[in-house]
Amino acid sequence: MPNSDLNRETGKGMKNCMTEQEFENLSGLIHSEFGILIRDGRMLSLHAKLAHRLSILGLASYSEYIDYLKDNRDKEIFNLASHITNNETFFLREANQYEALPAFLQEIKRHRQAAGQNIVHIISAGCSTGEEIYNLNIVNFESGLFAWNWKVALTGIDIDMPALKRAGKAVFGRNSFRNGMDEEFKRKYFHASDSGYRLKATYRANVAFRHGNILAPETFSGLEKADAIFCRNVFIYMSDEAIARAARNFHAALNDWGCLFVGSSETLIRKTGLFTPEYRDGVVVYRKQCAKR
Amino acid sequence: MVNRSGESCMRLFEEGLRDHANAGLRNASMDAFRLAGRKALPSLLKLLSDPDEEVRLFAANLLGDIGHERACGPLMAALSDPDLNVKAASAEALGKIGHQGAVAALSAVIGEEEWLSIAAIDALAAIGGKDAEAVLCTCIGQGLYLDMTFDAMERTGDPKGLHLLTPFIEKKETRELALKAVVNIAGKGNARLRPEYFCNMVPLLIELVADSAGDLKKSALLALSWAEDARGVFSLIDSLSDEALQEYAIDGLIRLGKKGEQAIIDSIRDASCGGRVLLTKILSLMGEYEALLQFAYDPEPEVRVEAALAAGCVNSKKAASVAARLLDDPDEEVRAAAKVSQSKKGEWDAEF
Repeated sequence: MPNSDLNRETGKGMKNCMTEQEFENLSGLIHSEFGILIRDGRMLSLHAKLAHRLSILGLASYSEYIDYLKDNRDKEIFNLASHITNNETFFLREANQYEALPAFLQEIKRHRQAAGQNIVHIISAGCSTGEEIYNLNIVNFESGLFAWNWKVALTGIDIDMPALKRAGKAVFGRNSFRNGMDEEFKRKYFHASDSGYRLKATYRANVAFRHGNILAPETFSGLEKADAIFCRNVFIYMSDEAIARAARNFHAALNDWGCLFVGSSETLIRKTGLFTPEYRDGVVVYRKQCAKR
Repeated sequence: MVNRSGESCMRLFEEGLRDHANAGLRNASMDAFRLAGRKALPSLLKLLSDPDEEVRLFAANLLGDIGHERACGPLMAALSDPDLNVKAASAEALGKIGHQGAVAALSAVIGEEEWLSIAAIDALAAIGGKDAEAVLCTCIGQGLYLDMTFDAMERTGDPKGLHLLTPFIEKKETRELALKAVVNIAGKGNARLRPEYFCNMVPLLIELVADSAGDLKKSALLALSWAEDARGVFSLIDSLSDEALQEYAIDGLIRLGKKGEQAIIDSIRDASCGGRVLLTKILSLMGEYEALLQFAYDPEPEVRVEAALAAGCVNSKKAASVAARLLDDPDEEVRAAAKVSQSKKGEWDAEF
């Protein structure tokens, strides 16, 4: 009954898969660069996502690809990133956080006013194809809090350049609306076109995108200090060590009153002491922990 | 002293073991018995009938550590010791010795007392073999200590005995544990089960992938990937977007081969399918290059990359036209892929 020939070739043109050593080296490199954990045994997934790079680059094995990556880091590393990251995102994902946002925006407004400032800045870290950052802009717009004499800035950050290019176009397919939303949402905020639903100009305004790695401090350099950072469903792919590194960068990028929002299945507890979890309005937010003065 | 292991030394160790007041001496005596190995057997077998239950308990433990078959008979007799801990230690020792002859005796005590039953089930897992597996299956059938028994089956399980577990997958109350055990037993040493094993279970596996979560969902999908049955193709496709299941889904789709090709193509054509980019990559791994050419006009650059690369693997006019067209694609990676295909075609033309 048992058939132990696990490694037999199945597809007629099955390309040579990577060796265990190659998997270890490549997943190690991905972790050290991006903090992404490619868990044991995911060899076929990694191979499926990267096999075309070998074909394009004319390389015969993943060992050669790893050497190529080392020799051409700046050229290839973000290419690698764009193929291994998950662009799974959609409008109104974890809608309770959007529902709770207006209360936080009011608080942000008070802090900014107290500091004599008229700007609000929100970051979506790991923004992928842009659904989250545009959704935040819609909520912000609908709150009406920053309508007069305020500068509103939203920055989407991601390591996946092709995803950012798509985000910039603000055209979305059916998959981006899978959260059972009604037609009213689409009609109100989008124009239907042959290529999909294009977000109306009003809700595209104030949104900018930045290519960068959330583990690298320089990704945030030159940005206005943020009032809130949304980094949802990103940490689920990362090691604790990488989460702590990202949290350090978020801490530095936030105003003293700033908050971090993570996905409902994620937690920073016992991973960093830089944020304090607070349960408010039905959601858990991580408030920046400031040094005692 | 241990090396000499004479009768007088053994008597000294026995005294040490009986010394309730001196834990250090007792531990040293136990170490000495272990070091003496089979030479200690006569002494330990005698201690197994000592009036002091603690001494009997230590003797049973030591006999298990030494692991000599000669101790089996007395240890089986000790399964009827008046003290529960001695009985359980004797069962554990029999497991450590691993002699098939102990299976019947261990089987007889299951169900008597929980503590002893657990030790006996554990011992049967350690002994393994056809008889032990049959006893464990009887326990499962009687609903005895299900978690423990399935865990024992997983540990002892030989893929040859997997058919014994099949009926338990079909029963709702044992489904989760049985499926997990089957998959883990089969997965030992990277083994996989032949598709025939699952042919009657495919509808059930599809249902489990759709309606369950966690380990059960994962085990059901893994089993479905091994089933190589076209009925499971959409469960595999739907699971591609779940990171925890993706590896098994890809494996299952590749193994389905031609049987799954049309469903994959239809899903790529469906713009709302979340895993369509990955599906084109899977088609490429399957070597279905001809089929990939139809996606040369796809709005998704990553899909066009696969079409461009496929064009270099097919010697046809259509492929040549796809490669030529994609040389002017707005996406850099697509152009690079088309260039690779063009150069391949140039090599072919030169060859023929």
